[in-house]
Amino acid sequence: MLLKIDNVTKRFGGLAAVSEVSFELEEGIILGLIGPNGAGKSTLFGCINGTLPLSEGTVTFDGKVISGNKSFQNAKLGIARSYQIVQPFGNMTALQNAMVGAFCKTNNYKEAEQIALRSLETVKLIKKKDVVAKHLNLGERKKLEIAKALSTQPKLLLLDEVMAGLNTTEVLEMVGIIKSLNTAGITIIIIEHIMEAIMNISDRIIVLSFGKKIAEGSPEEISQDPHVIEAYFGVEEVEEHA
Amino acid sequence: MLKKLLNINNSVLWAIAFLSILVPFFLPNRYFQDIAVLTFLWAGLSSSWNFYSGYCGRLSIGHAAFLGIGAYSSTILYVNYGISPWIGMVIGGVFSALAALLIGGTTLRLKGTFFVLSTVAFAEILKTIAIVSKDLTAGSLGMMIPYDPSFANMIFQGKIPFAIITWAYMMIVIILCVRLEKSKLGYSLIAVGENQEAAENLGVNSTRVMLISYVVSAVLTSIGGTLFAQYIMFIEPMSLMSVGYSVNFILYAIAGGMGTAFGPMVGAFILVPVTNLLRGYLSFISGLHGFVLGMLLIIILLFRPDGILPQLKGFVRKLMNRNKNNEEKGE
Repeated sequence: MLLKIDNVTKRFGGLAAVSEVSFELEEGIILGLIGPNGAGKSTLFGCINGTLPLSEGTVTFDGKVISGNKSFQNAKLGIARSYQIVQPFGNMTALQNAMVGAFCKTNNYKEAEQIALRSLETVKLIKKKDVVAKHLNLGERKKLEIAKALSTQPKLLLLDEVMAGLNTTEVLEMVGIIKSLNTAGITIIIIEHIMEAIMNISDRIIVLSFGKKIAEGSPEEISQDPHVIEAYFGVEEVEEHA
Repeated sequence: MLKKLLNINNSVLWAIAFLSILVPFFLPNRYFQDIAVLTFLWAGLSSSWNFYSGYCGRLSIGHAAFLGIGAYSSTILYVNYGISPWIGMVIGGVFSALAALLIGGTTLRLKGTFFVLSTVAFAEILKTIAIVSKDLTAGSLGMMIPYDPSFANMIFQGKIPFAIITWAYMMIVIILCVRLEKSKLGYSLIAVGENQEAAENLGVNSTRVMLISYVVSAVLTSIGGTLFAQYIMFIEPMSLMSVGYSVNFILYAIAGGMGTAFGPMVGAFILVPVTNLLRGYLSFISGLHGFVLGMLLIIILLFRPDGILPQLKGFVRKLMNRNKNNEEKGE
């Protein structure tokens, strides 16, 4: 098992944003994480990579307990995360942005440059490598977000809505990029609202609602699960006529 | 093509930095040579400040504290115990490193304005300590360094030896900044300044990165402090560790372009001579030089908020692009 989430709970004050979630993740797959807005998906990402301290439960990565680690420690171990709201280093070029990530695994400037160039190549952003990040458009910034994460040479990549706001062509391109990363051996957990895309690329799907895991299974199983339908569309009221 | 020309642009700055040592030799008298020494010294000090605050974007308004530690360490050791200021400079550097570790360790994790305020408080505390410890520092009377020229005493006849020493100091700090820009530490530091959480997600230990460069910045400033004391030969806490001095560090860096290796040098090369010459030539109405300088700064910051250097670079880049376009059209 690459990743084991055991009974993870995250409370903000009295509100449990993530509550008693457990699952396991074998190496090499793409896991889809879906659920209505506010279900706790991004919070769960924060719990896995160490941005948010856990209230309860443990996270085990590669055989080591990592809950309690800071995010930079987890990055060194091989967990990278891209953000839903893109977080580029605005005044640095695309290449420099990716190099910050590349320095995670090397101290050598030339080597870092090579790693960063390869990441930009993978996400098809190589032509914009010398453009200052704040001058990139949304699609390019989403790609840069992945390139930065990729430069840390992760084993596990957490992708948070990398397709939101993209047009159909860009979504298709992004699906291709994600598949190629997976083929290259990176295990991926992906949060996405575009159902077509996520059903298409995920090997397995987990559904969160109000912080709880309500279903887990293959895309086909999930699309027919009554709990999932209920979470997304609400319960059909049965009118009783006496 | 474009890259080549941008490199030339940088080599112009290298040339200015290297050739500036020739200037004091051609100046007509000690008055102008004095201005040259102060210019080199402040260029070095401002570049030292730049090493942390410039690249990370978090202003320290208390760097006069490290200036004071450097100046007082070497002076106390020299005047009271006869230890060479060269050794005092190293010991002052160690003291500054320890102070920076203590202060940085506790305040660097503070966000935004709170860090800025704590740096001011730090400088004020040290100033008060220097005033109160009369046995050691002679309090607000200040300390005089007796005139006894020799290399070991770091006291010289004439201004030229000090021009060379302060120039070398400036060059060392600038070279360190240039190297920082091409290093893991530099990339991490700039990233932390831009977005701390995103940087940490990429494996940057932000506290460590900030602490390292803050300590280096403090040590470099402290070395400048020793040079300052040996040059002026008189130190006293009220001016040495005042907010006014702390502001100078920032002023030259911002005017020239903070977060660029040569920015503080450009700022100091323009502002230090202008300040001193205005003081010299506009003395017929008291306070007029301050007024003119203030207006000049407002104009620079109003029209060139990034500083002079980035604007110049942008201008050169535009010019190159135009040439390049013309070339392409010609083909």
